[in-house]
Amino acid sequence: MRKNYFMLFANCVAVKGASRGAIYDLQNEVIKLIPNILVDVLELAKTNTIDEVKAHFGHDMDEGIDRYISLLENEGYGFRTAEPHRFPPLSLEWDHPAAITNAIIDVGRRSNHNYEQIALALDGVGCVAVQFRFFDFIGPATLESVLKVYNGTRVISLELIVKYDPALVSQLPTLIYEYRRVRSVTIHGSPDEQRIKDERTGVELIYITAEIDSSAHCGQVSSDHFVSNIGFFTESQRFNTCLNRKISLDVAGNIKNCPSMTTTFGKLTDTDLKDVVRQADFKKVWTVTKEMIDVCKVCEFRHACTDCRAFVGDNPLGKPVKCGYDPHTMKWETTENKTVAWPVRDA
Amino acid sequence: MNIPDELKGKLPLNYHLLQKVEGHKIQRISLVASAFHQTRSRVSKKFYKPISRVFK
Repeated sequence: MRKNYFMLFANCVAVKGASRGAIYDLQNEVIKLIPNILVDVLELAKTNTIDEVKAHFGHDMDEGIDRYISLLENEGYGFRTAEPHRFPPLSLEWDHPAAITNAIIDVGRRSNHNYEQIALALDGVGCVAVQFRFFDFIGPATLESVLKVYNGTRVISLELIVKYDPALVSQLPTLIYEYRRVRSVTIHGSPDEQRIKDERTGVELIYITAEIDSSAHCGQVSSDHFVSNIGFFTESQRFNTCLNRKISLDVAGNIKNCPSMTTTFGKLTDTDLKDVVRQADFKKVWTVTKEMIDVCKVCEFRHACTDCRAFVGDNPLGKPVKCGYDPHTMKWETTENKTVAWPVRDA
Repeated sequence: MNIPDELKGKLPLNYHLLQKVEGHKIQRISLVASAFHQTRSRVSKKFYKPISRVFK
């Protein structure tokens, strides 16, 4: 049987942008940049043979189509088949069996959080990932008391952002070994920038020189934060990639969608999180997708980028102000030109 | 390599693995299986997206 169709593997999805496209490899977690015309070719190829696709373009692009197909085949993005109907597309439905998936807890010098109460409340709404952002010094003993209360909860991932302190840094390997829910640690205000992988746990310790002293530092959009996996890609189809199923406590203990936002939904001391997550006002930002946002809706990275609705300027549906990427020019507004020319593989 | 007829059109758990087999030589199976396992493993241990982005 002649294999006269070409298909992308179901877990490799082509996305068209303003000036170029991308193939999201949701299994190998890679984004491959491609010309937009190739996105059109791949779309047509879903229901047409390669010869029919070539004819559609008047046979002007025969050589290019052959070259692209061979390249995608060799790099493991697609395959030739005689039976395309045997390979239905991946379902892009996303759901999660809990009201909340992730949480941010901000801690400042004057914070008076009850960490046990926080852990119980987050467990009650099904949260699986919590990030603590300590803007000021925290001692090893206090940090241990924060981590300890997650034993026995359904939380599987704890991320820590802590202020550089030699006494704490020396104890971190012991703490992350003892409390295995800790998946990453960022140490701000460090003397040097470095990344060290803890040998026993595999947890990455990220040392940065910048001081993270408030929630105003959040919302940075960078290719370093891009994600290509099935959870993120499917969630991004109908939900906001940052705020969906997120709950936050700011330094004063106010319940918010995001610590950088102004709207509050009470304090944890007198409010049940289960009641908060039922409120339509609390959930309204969950469904702001990239397809609704100016500029972002034509960006080839719109299903890889974590959105930000806290820092958006005057237009609530505007592009995040901390994003320097222009999908029309394909350039980043930084001193470093991050444009990647096709077919370089961009992770 | 061809997929056995009895498996075609079905959606087994290793559906994507089968697709890789369809499109590639048999030698690729172990590599793909390994990558698949790693992906599953990562998802189960670490949250799948950035919770916040306070630095670049």
